[in-house]
Amino acid sequence: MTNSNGTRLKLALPTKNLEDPTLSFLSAAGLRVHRPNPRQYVASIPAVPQIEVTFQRAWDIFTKVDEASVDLGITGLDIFSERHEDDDNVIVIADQLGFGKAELVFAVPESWIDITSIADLAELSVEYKEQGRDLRIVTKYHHTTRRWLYTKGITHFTLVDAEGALEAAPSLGYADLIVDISATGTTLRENHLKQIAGGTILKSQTCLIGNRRELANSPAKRAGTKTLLELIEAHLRADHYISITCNLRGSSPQALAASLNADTRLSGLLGPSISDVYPRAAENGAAWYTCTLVVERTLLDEAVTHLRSTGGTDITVFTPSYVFSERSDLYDRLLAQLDRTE
Amino acid sequence: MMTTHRIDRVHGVSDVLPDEYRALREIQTQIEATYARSGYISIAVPILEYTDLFLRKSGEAIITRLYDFQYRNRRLCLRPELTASAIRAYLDHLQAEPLPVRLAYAGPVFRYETPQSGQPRQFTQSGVELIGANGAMADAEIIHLAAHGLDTVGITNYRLIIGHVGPLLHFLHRLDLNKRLRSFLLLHMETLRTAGVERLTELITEIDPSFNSGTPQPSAEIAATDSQLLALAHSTISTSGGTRDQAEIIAGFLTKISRRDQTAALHRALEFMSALCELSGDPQTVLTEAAQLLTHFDSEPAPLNELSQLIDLLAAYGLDSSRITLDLGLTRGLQYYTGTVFELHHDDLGPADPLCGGGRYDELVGVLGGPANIAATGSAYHLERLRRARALEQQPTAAPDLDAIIIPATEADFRRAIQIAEGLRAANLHIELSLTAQALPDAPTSAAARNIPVAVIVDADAAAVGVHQLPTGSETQMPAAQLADYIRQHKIR
Repeated sequence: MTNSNGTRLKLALPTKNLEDPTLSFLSAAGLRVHRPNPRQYVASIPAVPQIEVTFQRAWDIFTKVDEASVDLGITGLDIFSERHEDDDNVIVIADQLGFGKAELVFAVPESWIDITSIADLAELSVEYKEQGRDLRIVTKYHHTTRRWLYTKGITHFTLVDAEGALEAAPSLGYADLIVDISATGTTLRENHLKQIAGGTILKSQTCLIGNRRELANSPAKRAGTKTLLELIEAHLRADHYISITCNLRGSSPQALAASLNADTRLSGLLGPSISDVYPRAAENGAAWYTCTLVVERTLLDEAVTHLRSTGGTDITVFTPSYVFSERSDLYDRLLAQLDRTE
Repeated sequence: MMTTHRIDRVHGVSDVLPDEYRALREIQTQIEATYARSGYISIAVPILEYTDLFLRKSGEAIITRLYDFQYRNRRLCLRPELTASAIRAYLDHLQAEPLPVRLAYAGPVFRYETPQSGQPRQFTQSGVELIGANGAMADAEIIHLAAHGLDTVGITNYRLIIGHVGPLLHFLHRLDLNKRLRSFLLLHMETLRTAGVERLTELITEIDPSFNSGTPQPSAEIAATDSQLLALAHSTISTSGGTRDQAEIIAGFLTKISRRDQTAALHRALEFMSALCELSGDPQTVLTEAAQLLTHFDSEPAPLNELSQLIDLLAAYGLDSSRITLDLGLTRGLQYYTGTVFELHHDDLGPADPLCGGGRYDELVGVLGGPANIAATGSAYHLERLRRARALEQQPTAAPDLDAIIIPATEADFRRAIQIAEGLRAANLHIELSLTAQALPDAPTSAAARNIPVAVIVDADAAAVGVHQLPTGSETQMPAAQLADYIRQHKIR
């Protein structure tokens, strides 16, 4: 069913409203996409020359990856959830690229004041079944909706194909309620629809998917994917960290390290690195040191307080571009999915 | 460079290869003969049905696994079981027959199992339905037939587990539970048995977040009544209710605020269900303990009388009572059962793989549009599991499918080889005709490697043919007219 597509690593990027955020994301990760002509649908990434970029619609990217006309693709988790079958060739390589966030939700007419939760909807479904009435749900996400409702014990419903604007379906009368992707809920409210408690099927964002067979069979493609993943992962991780440098007075580097290490969360990824400072005006009794440590961004305030209490001053804070760890977790996860070790 | 991959087999379905195919056919023939001896007539029903046939009364376990699809504006499915189809066929064609009607059937069924379950997505059911018969006599006939079929096939290490959904149905019916939770509990008795009450509580919380597994709390919904009534008044003038009219929404709202908190009832149900699950073992002991339990929960004893009578009748059939376990936690997860249910388990197959299952389903005929008063009971084997069970008990014999191979020595001998082969086939022997001329000594050697007992070399000698008896390698010449007898003597099929 699948055809091998050569040795170049082909990456599909989404067009339309996901295009700009995807390009910004890649650029921030050091993977700027070079597109010689904005009207062309092919491009390259100079940082990883073996990658060949094409632009496709987000919904088509899943299919392109499955049929191996591309090896990798950036698309939405909502689309993956809808298109994925247990026997296809598509795997999620990175599930949280951190942008394109939206939720797949149920929405019912605002005036259904008796339906405020998924449990109420389940009751309505049973009631409709007894009355021999269909509970019609209009959605583009048939598989995802059906699977999810089944896990909630709701089995009486009919899924209706989307015709034009989904949000209008209840007032036009061709469906009773809708399941749709919503980033802010504004469109739903404007159409007099409301979400219900427990009615979120999926929290979606963009993800990187890949063709299992192509990646398993080609060391060259895995090598290109590894470079891509290393940069993406280190960039994503960098978002969570800050680098703090500060001058400290102390009796010895060991004594300083001991007091800094007292709080393991605030003493860097491994521990502080401490080096000598040579002050212009010598002071009696104490030496000056400079110390650099990388801590989680959320701990900035605590870290500064901790450094001050240890005698710190001249505290400067930087945002790292990348934070690399010993191995790439994303790449290790990919190898595990391919049943390989390297 | 383009390389073409092979097209894979669809996940979860299997090819049946010759040895397995032969074993399955043999088992099916033996089972059908057993059915026929008790007056069950075989019918065949379609693999494709309208999905609605199975949505009416099947449990969640079936509905969520349906191969359900839209084709040219029709909602169709591959049948997940055969009972509903058999009843539909009865309603379509056989209603004029005097009751009871005894039907037998066999064929593939399809269920979209998760890969984790390890269950196949296609398997073969062979079953019977006894339509229009009530009472222990009918239940005993079906259960005996199911157990006796295993005897016929040569499976000996099996156990019979009998239950009754009556006590649970009655109890849940009397509790003030909404219908959805009631059917959910009924379907998840199996979860309670296998995964415990904590897991079931988790599942309930998932479908009904208001269910509090701790102490019951006053419903937040009722506290919000005033503001919602205001919202109602507001909505009446501002927006449409889509496909539901105002009266319906208000009725729904009133039902909702008048609905009592379900927590207490759910706890009571879980308590009763857990107690039922404990009742499993030797029939007489379980019947005594069950009588006490039902008295304690103030529930009807009628199902126990039915079970007691059933056990007596099974003894009359000669069913070894040490094989029988009475298990009041057995419900089989199918929403259509109304009385006795049973399963046959093999000692060496897992508890999730019963050889056979069945029970009484007195409401199904009515639900599918037939007369409401037609009781029915039935059972179905999982044929592939029967084959596995039999293979565990007795070494399958690898018998060859052929009795002889006819080999023309040269192309000039083709016509005579055809005539000889057709003559032997007419004598009911299994004969392969070589499609190419083969010279000695290669011809008999390749046949011997395939475990064919006799090779016949047809050459220019019109009076006789060369016959090789392959296991020994002995070679003789004989007139073609004597071949049939010779091959019959040496056949090992």
